[in-house]
This record gives sequence, C-alpha cells and structure tokens, in this order.
Amino acid sequence: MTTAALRSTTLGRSRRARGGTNPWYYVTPAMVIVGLLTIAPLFYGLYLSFTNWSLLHSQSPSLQGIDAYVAVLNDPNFWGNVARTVGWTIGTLIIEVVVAVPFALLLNRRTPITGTLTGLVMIPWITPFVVLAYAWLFLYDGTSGPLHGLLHALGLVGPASPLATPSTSLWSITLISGWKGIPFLTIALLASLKSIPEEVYEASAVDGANRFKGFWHITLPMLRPTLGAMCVVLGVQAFYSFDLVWILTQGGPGYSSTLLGVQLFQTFFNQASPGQAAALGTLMLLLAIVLVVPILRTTARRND
Amino acid sequence: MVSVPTSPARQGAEVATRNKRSARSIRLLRRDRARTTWWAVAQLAAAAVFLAPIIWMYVASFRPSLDIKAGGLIPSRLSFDNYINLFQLGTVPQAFLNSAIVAAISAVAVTVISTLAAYALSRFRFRGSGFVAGLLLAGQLVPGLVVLVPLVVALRQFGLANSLGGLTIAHLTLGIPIAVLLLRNYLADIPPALEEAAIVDGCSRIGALVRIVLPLLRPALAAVTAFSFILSWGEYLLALSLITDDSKKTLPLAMQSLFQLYSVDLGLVMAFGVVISLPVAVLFMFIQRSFVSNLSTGGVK
Repeated sequence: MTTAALRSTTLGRSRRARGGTNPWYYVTPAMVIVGLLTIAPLFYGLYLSFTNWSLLHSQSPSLQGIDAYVAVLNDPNFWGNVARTVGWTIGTLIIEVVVAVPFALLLNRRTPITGTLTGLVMIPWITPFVVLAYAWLFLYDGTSGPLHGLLHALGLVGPASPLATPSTSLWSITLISGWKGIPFLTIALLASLKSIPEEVYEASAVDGANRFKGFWHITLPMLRPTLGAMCVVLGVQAFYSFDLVWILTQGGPGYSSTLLGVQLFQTFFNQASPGQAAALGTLMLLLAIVLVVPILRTTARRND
Repeated sequence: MVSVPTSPARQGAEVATRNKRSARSIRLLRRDRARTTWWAVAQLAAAAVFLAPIIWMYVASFRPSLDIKAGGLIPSRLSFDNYINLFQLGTVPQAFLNSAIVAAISAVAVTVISTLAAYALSRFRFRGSGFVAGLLLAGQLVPGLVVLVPLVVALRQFGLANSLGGLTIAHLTLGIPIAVLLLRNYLADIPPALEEAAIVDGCSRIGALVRIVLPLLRPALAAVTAFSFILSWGEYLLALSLITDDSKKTLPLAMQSLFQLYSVDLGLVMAFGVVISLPVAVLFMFIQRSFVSNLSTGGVK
C-alpha cells in the first residue's frame, strides 16, 4: 500500500494525523550514520589525497595537486606491496574455495550432529582476529609450536618460526587468512546445496551418470553463482586485510609480508602523512575496482 | 487386502513375503544407519581438524606455561592459575568493562536505527527508497581501511579521538548495513495485514510497530543485536587508530599489550584469548540458527 493511496482515504488521513507515516522519519537516523561515517569520509579522503598533508610540516591540509600520488607511486616498495597483496588475495581465495567446497558437501549429509557441527565450525569466523593471531603465533612457534613441528618434519619450513623467515612469512599468514574465511563460504555453499532438488541427481543417475559426474555436471554449475558472489565479497575483504599481518609480523621480516593495508597504516601513523595515506587509499580503491569488475562480468555472463 | 477372504495357503505366502520384505527393509535401515554413522564420524573428524587451532588455545589456557613450552599435545596437568593471574592484572577487568560498554551501546543503537530503517524500506513505498537502500548497502561494500584515514582525522578534529564515545560512534558503521539487510528479510515474512488491522482498530503506526511487529521480530532483533555486539567486541583497526590511553583500551588492544609485556607466559596469553572469544562464541551459538539460515538465504542471492 502506498502513502499516496493512504492519503486519499479518510483512514489514511486519520493515520497521517496521528503521525508516523512519513518514511523519512524512519530512515533518517540510518542515513545520517552511514552518510557521516562512510560516504562523507570517502569524499573527505579524496580531498585529503590531493593535499599531501604531513603532520610533520603543517597542522592543517592545503591542496597540492597530485603530489601525494606521485610520492606513493615513487615509493620503491609500492609495486612489491601491490604484488604481495594480489598474491595474498588469490591465495586466500584458493584456500577458502578448495576447503569450503568439500566441507559443504560433507556437512550437507544429514546426521544427528550436523546442526551442532555447522554452528561450531562458524567459530573461527566470529572469533576476533587478535585472538586467532596469537593462537596461531604459538602454533607456528619455533621451539614448542605443534604446527611448526609438523611443517618442519615435512621439510616445508626451517628450524625457526615460519613467521620469522622472509621466504615463508607471507604464505604462513595467508594460510590463517584463508582458514578464517572458510566457515562463511561453507555456510553460503550449504544453503545453495540445499536448494538443489534431489530429483536432478536421480534423473542423472537414471541416465547413467556416476557420483563424480553428478558432482561435476550438476553440483558445481549450481554452486557457481554463489561461488562467484562470495569470491567477490571474500576477495575484497582479503584485499583490504590489515589485522592479522600487523599483529603477527608488522609487515616483516623486512618487507616480506607488507600488504597495501599495512603500508597505508604505516604511512598514516609512523610517517604521520595523512595526505599520502589517503592517496594510497584511493589507489587501493581503484585497484580493487579494476580487479573486481572482470570477475563480476564473467559471473554475470555465466548466469545468463 | 484385509477385506478379501483368502485361503490359508495364500495367507501363508503373504506372511512370508511380508517377512521377507520387512527383513530387507531392516537390512536397508541398518545399512543406512551404519552409513549415517560413518558420515557423522567423517564430519566430526573434519570439524575437529578444522577447529584444532582453537581447541589447542582452550587446552593451552589450562596448562602451566612451562608445560606448553615443553611441547606435547596431551596435557599432563591442568590448572586455573592462568585465569587467576590474568584477572589480577588491573588492565584486564578495565578492558573487559570498556569493551562491554562500547559493544553494548553500539549494538543497541545499531538495532534501533536499523529496525526503523528496515521497517520503512519494507512497508512504505516512497520516492527515493531505492536510493536509501543502495546507500545503506554501500556502507557494507566500503571496507574499513578505505575510510580509516579521513574518519580518524575527522574524529580527532571533533575531539573524539582517544575516547570510548568516539569509538562507539565509529563502531556504528560495522553493524548497520548488514542489520538492515537481515531485518528487511525477516520483515518480508511478516504479513503487513497484521499491523493494518491494528491501525484500523485505532493504533498509531508507531504503536503498531511496537506492539505488533516488534514481538514477532524478536528472534531477528536478538540475532542482529548479538551480531553487532560481536563485530564491535573484537574490532581492532579503529580501536588501534583511536585509543592510546591504557585505561581506555578495549580487549583486543589489551591482549596485544599483554603479549608485548608477558610474551614468555604463553598460558596467560592463551587464557586471555579464551576470555575474549568465549563470550562471543556462546552468544553466537544462541543465534546461529536464525542468523545462518537468514544470512545464507537472503544475503547471498
């Protein structure tokens, strides 16, 4: 029922007289919060990125063209950080998909414990990054960490913690990042698995398809839209990662685990340059759009 | 079958087939049950491997640090010493209180604000509703890191840096977009006719919302409040950027400083991890059914 329709009736008029039918009263608080804390900062950040403001030189920002962008792009570590961030994002997504798909298929079998287990496996997803970071820090510990013991026995890492070794620091944190994202993807996949009618498999079995063929030709194509959408959500999340790396290595040793998010934080706080940090933020947004648009295009085309 | 009179011989044959049939179905049932058991075992094993890091943290929190350092996965002795030592550090109860205040206030505010917005978006058709929905959803799509610099600069200018009030305001953005999305899905399942009947009986719009819709929405409200609480409770980046005073630190920051001071005392750090994660895990187990089903059906499509 529309407000216009209500106004034309006596009932509507009496309702209006009592107040509370103007939808803007209801949506304004949420609009103000999102507008002030998300949308306005986006534009303010864009403004700051054209100031090259540094707290070491001045108390307030003043426009200075593209100086901040030039400074960021000339930073010798910038492109290395871009490469690491892209690799980290892809690595995180691969771990998530490779584990979550079989995990969802397994949990899709109804057993008496399925409900409880589905709730329990969500726990890494809702556990704060700080807690997970320190738990894994000790799992990776060079002297007593059980996971380090296993990886060392397999010859994958040296005697020290993989976090303290430049060649392994990035991938050992990628593993944690992927692990934390698995529950969310699993739950999304479980929901779309439940929407596949049993008859489809029965029909394919009649036509002589085995289990693997059923999975390859029915399950996987049915999961593809969910997988595509979730890869965008989780990919953007991974691209903007900061917490895990900052807590575990602060981007080190050297620059071996410095992601763009870490560089942004360091530029802002350690170098006290909000202008350059804002420019880096804008560049990250552009890069994310460049990476996401092709994925959205392919998934949209496949859905047709 | 019963009404038709039959000869004793035929009756015997029928009983035999019935027996054979039931024997086969029992065998099938048994095979099914065995198969289900195997699937359950496989699920349990997979979940245990997946959750091993968290299980390890819980177990380690009850072991003396020396035992953890010595390695070995099976604990030889258990104690509550880590927890007792933890709460004797003054910073820990303070951080607990700070986090509880920030998370509780922001969770309640998010729920009230989002309920109003979701109600308008699902019940009124008005010019600009698409824009409003898009704007609120955009909040979900903009990662925190993108707006970190301008947000922190602005909050500093307004004197809201290094205050729990400023952090609470900043945390409102975490929950609102997803809360509006979830509440809209729930509201779509509540027929508007119920409120309209109340309005015809002389109830105001707000009265109908409070008396008719909110009681029906209770599980969704609980889920949204709990989830906003969880998001704020463990938030790290904004807290790290805004809070510097020890007395205003929230749990994630307090855990980090504890580690920097006592990194040798593994048991203490693991106990702190349990103290931070157990409340949200318990809270989540209460809401997970309604939350997970709604998130996966409405949030993904």
